[in-house]
Amino acid sequence: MRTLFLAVALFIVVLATGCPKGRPVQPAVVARVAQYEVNQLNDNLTAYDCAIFGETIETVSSVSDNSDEKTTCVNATPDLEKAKRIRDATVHRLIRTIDYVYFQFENDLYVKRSSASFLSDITEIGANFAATITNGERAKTVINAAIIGFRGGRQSGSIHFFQEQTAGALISSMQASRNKVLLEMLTRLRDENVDVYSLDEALGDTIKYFYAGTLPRALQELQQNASQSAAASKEAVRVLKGFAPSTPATTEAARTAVDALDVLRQLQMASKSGETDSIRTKALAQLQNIVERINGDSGLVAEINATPNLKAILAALNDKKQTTTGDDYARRVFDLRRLAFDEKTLKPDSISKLNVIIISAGQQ
Amino acid sequence: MSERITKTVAYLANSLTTLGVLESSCNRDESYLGKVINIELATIESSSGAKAVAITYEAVDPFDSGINLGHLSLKAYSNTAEENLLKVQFLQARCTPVLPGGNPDTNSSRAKAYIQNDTVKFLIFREEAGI
Repeated sequence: MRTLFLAVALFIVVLATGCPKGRPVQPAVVARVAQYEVNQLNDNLTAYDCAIFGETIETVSSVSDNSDEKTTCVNATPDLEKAKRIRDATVHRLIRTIDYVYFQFENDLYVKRSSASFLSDITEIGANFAATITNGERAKTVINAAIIGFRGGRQSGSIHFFQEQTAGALISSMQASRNKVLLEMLTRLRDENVDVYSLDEALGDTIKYFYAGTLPRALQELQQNASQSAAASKEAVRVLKGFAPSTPATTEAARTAVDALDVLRQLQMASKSGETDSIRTKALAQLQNIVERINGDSGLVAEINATPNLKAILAALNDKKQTTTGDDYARRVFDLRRLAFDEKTLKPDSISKLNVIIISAGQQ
Repeated sequence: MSERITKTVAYLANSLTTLGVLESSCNRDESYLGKVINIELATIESSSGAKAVAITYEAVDPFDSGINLGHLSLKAYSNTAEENLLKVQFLQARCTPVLPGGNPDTNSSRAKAYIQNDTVKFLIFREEAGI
């Protein structure tokens, strides 16, 4: 019976781990499209040199050593336009070849990593199942030990080979790096002539392009992005030392405070530059009225007089020699409420009372 | 050259229930302390490193500076499209960017704040006087 259960478990494992296909069958022509041989590259390089240095291509067969035809060139005039065309064609062919091998690699990476994970999961599940249905304690111990070993090996392999990055993240990172290099290369091919962006430089960029699509580059990029994000978030938060948090304003308190300031500003402006004397006089009277109403609130005055700074401002407001113009009144009343708020020398209710006095005096 | 007088005020994230509460607080504070010049994400050491929003105000002449103190508008956005739309709306309403170098063309006047447990991105503009 036990043998039967073990056989069933093994059967499930084997059946469930069929080889997944990661891509459709590749048409033969695709491989041909991507084919760019070393001798073709050599011919292009020679043709490029001829166009740059002013020589004409001549193909000769080497009879003595029975080797392939060789391309040389004879004297002619330099043709930079032609050189550009050769450069562009050469680089595009190399890009095509690199893309071909990259996409194969990408596919293998994704499929093999996914199927490896899938296989690992199934093996683990199968072994767990076997451990559950096995009667003997010793056999169970052996199977459980194998599961632990298997899990450890799987994790270690993952850490060492892929540094715990998923295939998707690695591929995205490689694609981002490749696109960056490709964009720069294509832009330069389009915009720059061979005297600025030579074939040699472009070939250097194709090597960069190839390595941008490799795992070390992907891991480096991911690490760089992670540290940049960490640094950015670290910089963005300011640490406040010796700070007491303030109480946020209610909508009502905010409206009263802002309205009071608006009234003070309007009265100050009217008293200074009102169109007529009566407007200026009225504005001055309204500002004086604010002071009178403050004086009329004994509780408020007592609180103001308890703080030397505020007491001095109120005294100045009551001194007709010191405070004469509308501008004087407005600025001193502003200072009174600013200090009371900033230094928290008046209770919030008293500051609010002061604001209400300003608003109602301004409406009279 | 006269010395710049600044004052930084901090609000705990858990005391800010909405961005509107922060807007009201900024407007109230501006009416006493001067114009907003900076808004930062912060933590307060004395409150066990609790998350907060630090706002710095600079004292300005409340009467003759021409700055419409206490009339700020804060609008949250979550992506560039929303941000651009808000910017257009602010500009159509003749609002002006608030934060240093504030120029809508350079994507400034943006800020972030902790509101409860979230980090909220928002634009801050000043309403035109008389609105």
